Amino acid sequence: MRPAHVETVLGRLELLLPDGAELVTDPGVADGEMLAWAPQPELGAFSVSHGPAAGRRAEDLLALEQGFGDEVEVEGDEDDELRLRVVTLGSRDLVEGRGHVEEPTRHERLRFRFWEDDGEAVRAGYRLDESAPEELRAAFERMADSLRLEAP
Amino acid sequence: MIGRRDREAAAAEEREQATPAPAPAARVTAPPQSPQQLLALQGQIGNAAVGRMLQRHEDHDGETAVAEPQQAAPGAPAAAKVPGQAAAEADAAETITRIGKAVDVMAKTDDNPTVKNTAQLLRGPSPRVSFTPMTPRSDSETIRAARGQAVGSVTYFFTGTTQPALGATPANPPAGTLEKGPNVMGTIRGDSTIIIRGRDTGGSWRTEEDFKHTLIHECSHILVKAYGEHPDTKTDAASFDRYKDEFRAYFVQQFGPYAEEKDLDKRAAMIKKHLIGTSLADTQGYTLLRNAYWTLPAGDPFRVSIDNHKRPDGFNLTNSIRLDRFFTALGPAATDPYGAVDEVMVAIAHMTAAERVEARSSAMIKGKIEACGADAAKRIFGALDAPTKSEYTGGLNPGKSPRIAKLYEELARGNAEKLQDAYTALSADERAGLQFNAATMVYVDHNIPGQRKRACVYAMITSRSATQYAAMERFLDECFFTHIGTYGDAPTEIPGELRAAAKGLTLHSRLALYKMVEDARKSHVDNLPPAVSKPLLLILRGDADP
Repeated sequence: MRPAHVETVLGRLELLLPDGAELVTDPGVADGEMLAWAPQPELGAFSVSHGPAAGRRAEDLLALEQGFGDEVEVEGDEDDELRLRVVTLGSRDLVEGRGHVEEPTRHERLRFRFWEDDGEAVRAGYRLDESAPEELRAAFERMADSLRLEAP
Repeated sequence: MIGRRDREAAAAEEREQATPAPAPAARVTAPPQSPQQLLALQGQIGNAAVGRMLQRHEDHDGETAVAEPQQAAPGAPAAAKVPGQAAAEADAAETITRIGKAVDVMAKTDDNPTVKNTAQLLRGPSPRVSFTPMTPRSDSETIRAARGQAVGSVTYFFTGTTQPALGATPANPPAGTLEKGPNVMGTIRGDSTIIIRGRDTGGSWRTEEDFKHTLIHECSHILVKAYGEHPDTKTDAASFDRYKDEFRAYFVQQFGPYAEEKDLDKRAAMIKKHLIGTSLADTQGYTLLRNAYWTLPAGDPFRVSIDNHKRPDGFNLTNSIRLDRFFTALGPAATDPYGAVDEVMVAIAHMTAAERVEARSSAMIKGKIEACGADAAKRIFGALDAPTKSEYTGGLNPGKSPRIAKLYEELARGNAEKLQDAYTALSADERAGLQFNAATMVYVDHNIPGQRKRACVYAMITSRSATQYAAMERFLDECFFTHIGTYGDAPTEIPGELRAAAKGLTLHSRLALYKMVEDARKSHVDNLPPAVSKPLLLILRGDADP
């Protein structure tokens, strides 16, 4: 792991990154900025999102997961952190070039931390499939543990 | 700067100061409290964080009607279209148009029953199978990012032709939203809806042929599921049942590389390779089936079963709406062996000769017919066993008269009043055409096992008069009353009432009973005392006047 930082709307967010890992801009975010590291995208991503607070709060994320997930269990809701376990039932789909594929039921764990001030917010953390390799889970966990927001 | 907990505490304090009400119970699940909050959230993530916005499609099966725009949740504020929404909705509408054109072409196909049949499954006022497009939401990436999902990991689709506004409260999520892998091109919803993507992942429109074979393929899956013949396909993606389900769908899909291979053994080999690949390391095909096959030793029963499976199996291999209706009618007939069996007979009346053969040879169907009871089974098997030669099938209604078709339907149903009405509706020429039509008589023999009703129908048809139906009923009744009367003093001549009833029959009706419905004649006339039966038989065969 190596120290890294992200300049956010609320100040410098410091964290540890695995060697060789890089947070890259995610173009999907509607406003503000989002950076992510997803060495195995199909399994999950670690992300840092900052900008206007609406949509970056814990309740926003929980509402989203409750909307999409088939089962959502709040495993932890402490201070600035939210931990969720989300189950999304599988389905049988027609996939381009592959025919019918049995998409397995996804079991994901989410751990995000939240900071907010004066209408701006930072959300950082990960979502990861439970089938992910232990080393990836451990890396995401250490990254989340290391998050520190330094006010300007 | 404040953490979430501090912010919530501060907010709670403000609320308490404003209104001395009990402390709010919900923290993180509270929906937006004001229009301002709502708009802020909509702006942030394309409406996505406003409560329980989207819900998985399984919870809303059936809510998305074919090609019907989805409605915003009741009570939800009218949301302005998000960027790209109009283009996405235009794509969805175009997908409907393109699929509709493909189905139209299929409906006009006369040289391929499976293609035409599939169109019939998809058309009509209450289609057996419906389809709806799945189109990437214009705000798909925004939703993905809001959930912290990796780039390229998922795409959010809407079904139908309208990208629904995201609901305002957790209780009102929009129906029909799908979260799928980016390469997903379709799926099946519930028991009867095919969901199809119009463009491929590269953005190109799928071809008409793509739509056709997808529709045929998916209809096969829907029917297999309905008939329950490969039950493990639903629960075990690595089962032989799943293999057979997929094998069948590819085998019958009529378009694409498998259909182009006319050597059916080679076609089977191609499909097998597609499903299980060539080795465990093969990255193509169906992962679970491939792993299940290649991890087992050669000679394992599972492998042998797959190796030996070279033709599609199961009921209704041609996606026939008629066979499907027949299957459906058999369900209630098992518990109502009287009225419901009539509808089974009607379903058979609409089947082609080849479909009757298929139904007759299906072990699953045989079991369902026998479950209807012995009498009903005799009636159903009789109809299925009608001749299949073109001399018969082509002779039934050579002019394709809808009135004659209706008569056959009512003959199969067996309701006396309705079949007389249907006969009355025939033109004079149509009655003349049926009067001595051998195919019609064979049809009557196979569809009306009851001798009494059959005798009445013969009287009606051969005399070209619906009133002869009742005349024959009266005659047979009088025969019965005479027979009962023999328990006292046996009559020495034809009783007056019986003679009068015989007079009510035309010569054609009398001859029909004598020769064409011999079982009815034997049970009603031949068994009367000789003093009655002998002169009566002379009358029936035209050797004496009544």
